[in-house]
Amino acid sequence: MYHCAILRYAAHLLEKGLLVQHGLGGSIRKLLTSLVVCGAAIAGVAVVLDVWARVRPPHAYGYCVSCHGRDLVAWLVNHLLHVQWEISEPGRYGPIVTVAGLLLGAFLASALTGERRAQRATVAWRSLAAGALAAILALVALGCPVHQALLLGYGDWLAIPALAAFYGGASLGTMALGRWAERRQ
Amino acid sequence: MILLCTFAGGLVIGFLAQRSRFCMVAPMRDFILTRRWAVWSGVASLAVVSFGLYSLAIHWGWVARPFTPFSARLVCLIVAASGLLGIVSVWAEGCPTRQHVLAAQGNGNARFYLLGFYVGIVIYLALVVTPLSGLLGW
Repeated sequence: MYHCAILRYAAHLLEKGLLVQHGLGGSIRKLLTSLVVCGAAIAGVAVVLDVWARVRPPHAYGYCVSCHGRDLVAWLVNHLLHVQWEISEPGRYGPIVTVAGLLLGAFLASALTGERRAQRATVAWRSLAAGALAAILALVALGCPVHQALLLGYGDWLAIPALAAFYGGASLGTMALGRWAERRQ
Repeated sequence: MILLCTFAGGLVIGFLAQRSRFCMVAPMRDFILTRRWAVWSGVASLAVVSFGLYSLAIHWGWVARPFTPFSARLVCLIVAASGLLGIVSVWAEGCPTRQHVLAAQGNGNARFYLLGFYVGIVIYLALVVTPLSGLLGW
């Protein structure tokens, strides 16, 4: 796509012109692709949004895909249809658009590195059902797993059974899918 | 203000999550399938850094110490929903954050996941939240 090509060229110029010249290209790339840095950055951004930008209450509300998505949907519906759907306190002051930023950030990163590729859906109905179930379950269970980990860092004891159950469910699901794949072969 | 702050925060997280392939469910899946510990580093650093930063914030009085009263009904509900969320996340091949990143990357399945995710949010707000509040006595 045209705009992706422009972004890629900009990244190429930046890398060749600035970073490689000073020998920084490799180390910056390593930092950006490190899981440790990403986890720390998510925690840092979430705490800054929570403490400084006052995205609270509830506790540790700086980053949560499902809760912030719920706030955005509820804000839009409340303003368009004049109803009173449940919304968090910071969500009443203005739209919480973390999910829009997340999508744009991931789009820019993938376009800059040439990883963006349009792929057709292979299991559309399964993904649709999984998405709907995941949203409802996450909203019942304190929020998305990242929010549960943030709550654990904050010191809320409810995050311990939530994360333990999440990883218990994940291991059960992995083993069940493995067995199912073996049987199909 | 809240619009700009949350958008900027999401942008930074989206960029880094795409570059590092951050996912909450992948560590457990990869550990069971390949016995690799390394993928846990993202989740571990998220928990450790948030613990450190929140400890400082509580120490300096910027946020209050957390207090959640015990409720057996709430714990049972959270454990059941969270366990099922783990199973669904493995089934969908990624946690909600990873699915948003994959959808922005052009993955068709993740785009359908997102469609289902926002339909699920509407279902929750329209049908689930009122009986749930009644069940928990809120």
